[in-house]
Amino acid sequence: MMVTVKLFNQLQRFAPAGQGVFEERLPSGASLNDLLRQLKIPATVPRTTLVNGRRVADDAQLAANDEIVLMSPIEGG
Amino acid sequence: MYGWRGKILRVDLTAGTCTSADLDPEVAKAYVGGRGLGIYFLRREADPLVDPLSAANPLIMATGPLTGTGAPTGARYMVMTKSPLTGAITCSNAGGRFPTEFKRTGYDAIIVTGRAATPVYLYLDPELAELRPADHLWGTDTHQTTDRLLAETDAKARVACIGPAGERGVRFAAIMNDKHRAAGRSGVGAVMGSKRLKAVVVRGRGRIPLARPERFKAFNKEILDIFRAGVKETPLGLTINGTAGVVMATQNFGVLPTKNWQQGTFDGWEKIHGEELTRRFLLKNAACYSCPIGCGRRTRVDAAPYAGEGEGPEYETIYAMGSNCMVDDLAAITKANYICNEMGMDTITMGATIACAMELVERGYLSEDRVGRPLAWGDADALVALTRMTASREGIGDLLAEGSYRLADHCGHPELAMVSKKQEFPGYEPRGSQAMGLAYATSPIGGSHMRGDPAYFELFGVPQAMDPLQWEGKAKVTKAFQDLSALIDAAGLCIFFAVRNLAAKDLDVAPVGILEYLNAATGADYSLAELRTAGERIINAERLFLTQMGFSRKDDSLPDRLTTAPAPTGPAKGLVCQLDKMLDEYYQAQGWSADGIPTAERLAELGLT
Repeated sequence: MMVTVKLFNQLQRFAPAGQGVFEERLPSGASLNDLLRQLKIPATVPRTTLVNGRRVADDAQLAANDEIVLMSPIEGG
Repeated sequence: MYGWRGKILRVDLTAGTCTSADLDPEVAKAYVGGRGLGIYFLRREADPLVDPLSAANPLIMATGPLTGTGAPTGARYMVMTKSPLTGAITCSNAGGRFPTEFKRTGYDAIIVTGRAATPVYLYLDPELAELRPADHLWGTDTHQTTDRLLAETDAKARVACIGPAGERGVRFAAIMNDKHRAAGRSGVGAVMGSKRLKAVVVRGRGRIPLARPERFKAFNKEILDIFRAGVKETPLGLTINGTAGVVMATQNFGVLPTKNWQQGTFDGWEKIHGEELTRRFLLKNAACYSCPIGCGRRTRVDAAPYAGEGEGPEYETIYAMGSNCMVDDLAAITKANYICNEMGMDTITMGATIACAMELVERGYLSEDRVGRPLAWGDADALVALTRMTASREGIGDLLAEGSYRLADHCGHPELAMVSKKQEFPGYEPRGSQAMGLAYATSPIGGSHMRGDPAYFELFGVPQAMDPLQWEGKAKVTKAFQDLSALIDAAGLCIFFAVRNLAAKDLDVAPVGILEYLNAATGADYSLAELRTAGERIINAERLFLTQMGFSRKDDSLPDRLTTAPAPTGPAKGLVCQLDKMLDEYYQAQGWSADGIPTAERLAELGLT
């Protein structure tokens, strides 16, 4: 299945082709953890993760056409 | 006293006198300082029904016991008065260097009453407090005023002043200190202007005496070591892109207010994001006294027509003047920000009022003839021009200077003002950030993120992450976060450091780090329970004063747009803010009646009458 991945700030360095926004192929039924492994993003890298705009746990199952946003923690205002 | 200086300066502008009074140690312990001392003195000095722009409205400036001590971000002061924008209280907060210098004069707070016959400024050092003529400064902007006062007093002094906007009674005029830092909200600058007080100049001396300096130093090292190890591993977003970096988060959460709050996503967001600000305009970071973060932005725009140099913009400015007006020109936003700083105006209310005017024009409720120029969504030139006209109350600027509520009401459509208690919101859409809606509605100053900021737990995941789209369970945690914020404001700290580094994940025991600092600084031996109660006392004292002004549940409101019109885009698509349901639980958590009035029993528990 194909999903859309958006990597922002310090997470962009894990983009396979250098572009922060890309399509990624995953096995059907893959989880967020599977995607993180595929992109070689270590568990120790701080991030905020959204799937279709919702914050989810790393073992959440993904579906085709999901949009996954990974961004460095930010605060302020 | 330690931590506190133990003295209050009373300035009677009508009589032209300055007198020193002692700070009661019991009052200091019960109200901590800053925002707490502010509401304590405001309740004593002000009739709740006082006209905000009359001589009888007191203006209070107060530091906290950690201001100037060297505690990280212990750099802040609070301005409390009755607001000409909202008719409620203000508690407008600023950092920079002025608050520390103020405290080094030996005073914890200044209480200004009356009105001067002609413009004056206050000069204060440890030996001298006097009012001096300021006719020569009246009409000059905040930068010119600061430069001239430093030249004629002491180059090492620090200045807080108003600009032309405050002199002309712009209802959201700010008090600017160190040129670029703003006690920005609710029109505190208009109150200062109504008193003909142009500036406060402070020149201090020495260090703030601490009760347990060794303990303070050891704890400070412990906290800073942890902080520095953390940022070595992962540099802080706030340091890299300033608060402007938040644009990316709010866009992706679908809570970036756009088109006068009609939606929570903006197609042009990447052009106004913090990374763009860093790449195009950043000269260097700016930091307040004793701050290890440095979120301030020293910036310069080289190209005409928006060339200029100064500080900003912050995230809130970028939302208000950018996405909310559908302006994606970061140079224009930055220029309008500079104008606000120089004229002394709040960027949030300014931008939100222009966005409101754009919608009024689009819907045919305000003519472009009346505006005096075309005013379509996204018009960057209009943003800059109307900001200038507002500061001078020229043409349509005279109406914009009243803020969005009075503008929309004048046009027969008050429902198009995106306000609570007549104050414009900061940049987080409550349909996609439910607790934020509750915090806006219950903030004592109207629309605000700084009197309890649920964006921390809903969007930023600090101290722990909660789903922003869920309303269930948010009332209790919002109340706890407001209590924590009251303590941060009272201590003289900055929320940007304190929430992540000095608070426990469990909000029930949140202020543990603040407790350590306060006890080492003051020797007051607060227990955790006493300190938490002090936070609740501040919130309830403010609420009590508001109820005496006539505020109740009917005023803890949001515009219908946010509670009845489903969000059209983003993760919150189809949702409204469930304010009423959260309010019921919130009042229960506070121990207030169903109408939002503190009960006699609750007030007695907190020692309030």
